[in-house]
Amino acid sequence: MSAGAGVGHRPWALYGYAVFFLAFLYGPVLLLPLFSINDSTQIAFPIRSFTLRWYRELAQDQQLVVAFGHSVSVALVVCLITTALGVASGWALTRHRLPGSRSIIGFMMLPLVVPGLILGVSLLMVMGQLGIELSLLTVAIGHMVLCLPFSLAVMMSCFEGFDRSLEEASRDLGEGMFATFLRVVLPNALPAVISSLLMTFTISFDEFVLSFFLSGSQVTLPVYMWAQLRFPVKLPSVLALATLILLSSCLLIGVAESLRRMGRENREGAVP
Amino acid sequence: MIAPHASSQGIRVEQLTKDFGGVRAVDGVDLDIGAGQFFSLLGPSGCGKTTLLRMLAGLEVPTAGRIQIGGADITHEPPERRPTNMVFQSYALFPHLDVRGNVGYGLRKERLHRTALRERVDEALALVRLDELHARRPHELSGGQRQRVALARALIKRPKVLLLDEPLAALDKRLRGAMQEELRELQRRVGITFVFVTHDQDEAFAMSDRIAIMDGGKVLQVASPADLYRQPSCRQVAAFVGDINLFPGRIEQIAGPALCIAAGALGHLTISTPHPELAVGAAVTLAIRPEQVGLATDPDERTPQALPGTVAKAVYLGDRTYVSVSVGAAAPILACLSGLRDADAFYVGRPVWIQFFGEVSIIAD
Amino acid sequence: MSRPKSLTEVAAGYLLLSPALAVMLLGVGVPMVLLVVSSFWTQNYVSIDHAPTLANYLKFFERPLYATLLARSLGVSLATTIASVVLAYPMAYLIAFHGGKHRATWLVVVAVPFWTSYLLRIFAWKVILGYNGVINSGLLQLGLIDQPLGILLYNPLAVIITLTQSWLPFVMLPIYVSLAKIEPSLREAAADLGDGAFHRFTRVIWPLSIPGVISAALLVFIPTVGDYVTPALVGGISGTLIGNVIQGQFGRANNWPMGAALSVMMMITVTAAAVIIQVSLARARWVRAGARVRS
Repeated sequence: MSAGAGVGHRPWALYGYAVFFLAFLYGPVLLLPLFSINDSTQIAFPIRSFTLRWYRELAQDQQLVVAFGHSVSVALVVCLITTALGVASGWALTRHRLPGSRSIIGFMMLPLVVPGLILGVSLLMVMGQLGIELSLLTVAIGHMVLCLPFSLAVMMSCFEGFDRSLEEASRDLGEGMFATFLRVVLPNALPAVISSLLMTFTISFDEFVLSFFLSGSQVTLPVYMWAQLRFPVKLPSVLALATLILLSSCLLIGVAESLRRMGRENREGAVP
Repeated sequence: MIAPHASSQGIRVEQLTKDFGGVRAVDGVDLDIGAGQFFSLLGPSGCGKTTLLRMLAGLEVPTAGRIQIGGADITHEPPERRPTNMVFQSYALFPHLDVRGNVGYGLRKERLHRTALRERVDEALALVRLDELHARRPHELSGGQRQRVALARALIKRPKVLLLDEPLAALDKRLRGAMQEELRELQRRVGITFVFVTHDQDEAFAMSDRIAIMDGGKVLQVASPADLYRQPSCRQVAAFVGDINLFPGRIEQIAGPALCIAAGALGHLTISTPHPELAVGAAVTLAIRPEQVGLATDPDERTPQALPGTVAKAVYLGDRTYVSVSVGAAAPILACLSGLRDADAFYVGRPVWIQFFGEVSIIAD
Repeated sequence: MSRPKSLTEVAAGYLLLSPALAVMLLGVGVPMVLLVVSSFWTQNYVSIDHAPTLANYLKFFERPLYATLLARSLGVSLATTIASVVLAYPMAYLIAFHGGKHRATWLVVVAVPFWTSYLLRIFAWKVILGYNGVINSGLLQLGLIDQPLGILLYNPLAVIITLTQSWLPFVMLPIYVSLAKIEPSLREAAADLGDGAFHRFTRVIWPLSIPGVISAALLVFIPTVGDYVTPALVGGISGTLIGNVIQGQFGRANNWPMGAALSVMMMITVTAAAVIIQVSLARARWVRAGARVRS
């Protein structure tokens, strides 16, 4: 932005606001790691001494670890299937001129505008009517319905902005539609695909409402946490786990970002 | 009606400099732009002309130097308080307002009554000949129409100076030609000082009273189009403005005001413009325009001083032919011959005789 | 490429689309239909009577409790929507116009809290607002109060605060996107034409950011109306919302058809409210301040 148009000076008022904003945003979040090293089962002030014992106990908490594993496996299945569906339907909706595509897109985006509670109870009713037993599978199905609009939105945005002359060049050089898709479109759509995978994984992993209604005897981590919120004894371990998850997410993003930077430098020459 | 000549003002720029980080985009520029002139800043991409224009508008703050408009120092005034208005290269029309809304935008402070406002807007639209489309939104207009809206929006404020940042760059060739005429016409009618930025030499020449040639952040020469063409002050300007033949020479003799120069394979040339700064034996660069080079194909037609050479290359453009002629060991001389000729009149290898019309000039390096 | 639409192209397209479409039909379409249908059934303890009846809806209108809770839920959602949009806007503005090269970093910084568990974020507010919580301990230490304040927690305000903080990153994004799309030359043109910073905002930036604000508002309003987790943890009795009642119908109260009916009522009111929000924001006079010159 140019200097002269009134914004050459630093917007101190806005920076001050940003400090307040970030404090409000992060305050509660930072309490979690704080209490995960607090030597007390009570999540309240004052802080006693610091300890790492909750992290040690984490490994021994069988149910917690099992719930964590359930969440990971559900999230993995969901992110893979949902992204595949998102790629296929995103491609179909942007490249094949289908009649009624606008209403179809609107329909597919419904879960975004329906409260999770409604989705959860209505799916529960269907399962009840069909006599399907609740399990991790039903949870996964619920997550897939929830995550599909996100994946579709990401993939459609990617495909729409895609330089069609690349596809045309590939066709001109002899490749059919499918081969073009595999050899030209997919490699170039990779950032969007990865974005969709990460997003759907995250949504599924942290999802509570649908999981709550659709879980059977095997529960996911958020559902397990919900139960633990009434039993303070287990809670610090839960906080320890949440802190670990947060730290690894940040680490993952950091690694992904530096890989992306390195990849760009390799392709375009070192950034001056 | 906007009164001609009444409200335009001249601009004076002193030692204006702008640094972006480690890069110096504008380097100590001095300019004097007369009131009511159509003044162009001409140069290749990256020469600093747009940065200079933006500093005049107040959209960039100079690192050093002064800007005066009508005698008042406005160097540090924000854009909203300057007597300038700008036509942006991308037009910058507000998408959420229709044509009327865009054109009337800048009149908010004048607190006009609704009817008065409407009249002013209509007047501005009539000035740029865009009466009919006042209810349309920018995205419903063609490039040429948007350009006129941008013009009307700027002119309605009756600025002392109108700044134009390559406003015709996005138009196709024919439209551009028509708009050039219109802009020139408009400027004469309205009488405001126009400062026009372009990289297109033909465009600058067609419209301007005076042109400043810029390169590398500096102003190389400021002159009328004719003077720029015939008397370029340096090699860069000479090469930038049209085609030119440049070749080395050495001063052999000075007889009063006249200089006799030895130019290698091109023989001896005489210049009658005095150059008191040059001494005998000095090495100089000589320049002559392709239009000043005549070619004779028939040995009987040539003058005694004509130099023999051979055609190295010829490009036939219909109304004119460019012929490149090698003369001995010297670099080929480019001749531009206008008028209807046969396409194959100048085949490669054909012997021709060169003579120069008018005088060769000496260019500073 | 403009080639004539062939039958195989359409067929292939639908083929590619079918798995996803099937998932959505079975996952959303059918359940919704079932929801509406079952709202006309009745349940007595374990057995469900499939004879269609308006009994559930009548109960809704008879008992003031349901309507009260629904109204409270809408109020809480509206308050959350307004608070989060108002809080998020300046931040989105800062990043869009002053973020420069570090925009992506700013966005990540704002998104990080979203990677913590939703449940735990709510729980964290319990810790902050609670009897022994951060605020009370802090105020006690500073000597500003003698006794911890009990009014901070277990009321609708606590729900609003918690929801606002939770949804802030989500709300900021659409606002940021619409602000970032504004060509820088538009601000320059406004300045060139005589507007100072304040009028540049009201006449150019704000009108152009409205689509983003509408998206953001709807994005937070609709899901929060049905939220029951937050009220359950920090709402207490006075902060109970319609979502809790619905969840109860599928849980302890075991009256699924009633739950379905309440859900339908909730959906209808949410949709109506969303339409009102969208229309009024798009039409408000004060929103079109820039277009004073009209044809």
